[in-house]
Amino acid sequence: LSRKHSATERRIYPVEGPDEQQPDEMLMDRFCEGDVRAFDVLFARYARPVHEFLSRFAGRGAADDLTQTTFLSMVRARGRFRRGDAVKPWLFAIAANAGRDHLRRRGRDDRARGAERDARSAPAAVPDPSAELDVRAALARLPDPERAVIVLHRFHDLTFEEIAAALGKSAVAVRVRAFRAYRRLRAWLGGDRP
Amino acid sequence: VSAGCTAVLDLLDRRAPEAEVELHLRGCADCRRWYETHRALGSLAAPAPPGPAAAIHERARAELIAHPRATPWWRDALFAAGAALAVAAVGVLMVGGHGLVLNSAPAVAIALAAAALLAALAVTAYAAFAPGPHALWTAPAAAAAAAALLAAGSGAYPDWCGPYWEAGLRCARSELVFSILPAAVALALLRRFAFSAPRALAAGLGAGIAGLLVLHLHCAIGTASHIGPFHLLPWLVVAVLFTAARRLTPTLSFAR
Repeated sequence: LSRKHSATERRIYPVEGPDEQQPDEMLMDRFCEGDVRAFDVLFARYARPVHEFLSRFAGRGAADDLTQTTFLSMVRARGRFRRGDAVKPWLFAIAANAGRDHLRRRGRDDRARGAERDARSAPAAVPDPSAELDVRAALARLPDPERAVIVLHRFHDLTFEEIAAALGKSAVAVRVRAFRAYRRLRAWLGGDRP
Repeated sequence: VSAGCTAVLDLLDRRAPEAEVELHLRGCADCRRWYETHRALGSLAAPAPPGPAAAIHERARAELIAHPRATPWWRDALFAAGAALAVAAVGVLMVGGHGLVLNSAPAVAIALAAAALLAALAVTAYAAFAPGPHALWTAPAAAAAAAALLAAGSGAYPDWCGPYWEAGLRCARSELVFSILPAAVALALLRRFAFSAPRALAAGLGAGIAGLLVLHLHCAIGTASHIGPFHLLPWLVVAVLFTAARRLTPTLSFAR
């Protein structure tokens, strides 16, 4: 996957049409039955959010491989999806597990270096690149479980309840993690004591 | 977390209207600082990283086309439990040169303890492979099986079994050997799940039941001082070693 993709390889299956309007749960039912078209729509809907989550959680360098791992896991484990469950937390749970496993294997120091490198190579589309560097570095310093909560909460619009379902934790535990993480970030970014 | 007022985080979490958030922020210094941090993170939201390559879609699509039928979770559970049962059956036959059942406890007690072991096997297979967190069932099922084995002990220690340590280590070794194949099967199946220590412990306990069942039927020593350290302790050792092995093996699928 790490090889460069040519323009012709960047083909995405078109998903316009009535399928695109279907809710996740209906698409998931069809996908679980092996419907490739339903998978295409789910992929189009979630590939970018999952990729963004993994970029922020595990670093840009690993995001492509981890996104692939996430969607392969989704295909392989669809027999375990419980009908009626929400798709988004289930999919982000897979991504979070893949990201955690990657970070565990790679080691925290290496990850911190990668995050700083990512930050330096970030596109300069923000008004103050140094502020972004600070925020990215602060995010990278968070313990993995807290960073997962913050990224899902702040950037992917999941509620504490949904994050709890995704991470297999209680909502109370997720709230505590979120408060701790926001407190650390507030200290690092604003000069408070952590 | 001593963080002062955190109401704004709850307001944001439940997507309260902006006016409500503003109203709270006006009168709460704590929350204004929380809110600033929350907003500061927004500087990362704008430059979204490039999207995933289409090759990712192609690969996942190809996997789906190659395997259009989903594997139901119970198939893995049945396979793992079946492997443990098959090894237990073969094990009893292998060591049964002097008789299949050497346990001298009453037949009803032997049957009840065996039933408790089979129930524990079913529960551990369910806890290890069913979707959702079911590990809470593992400990009571394992404890009930252990209690049943101790309660069904005949109390006998025949002379021909040999000295305490020699006989005990023979049992422990047999149990570990009979656990290897079911553990290997369970390990291969569990690689399709994200690592979870409770799941791995459940699967390890399930794998260890093969050896435990063989010893329950074939071991003639029925004292608690033998069953505890040489039947039950190796069972726990198998579960712990299994969990460590699962932690070290690569994962094929990261779904729970």
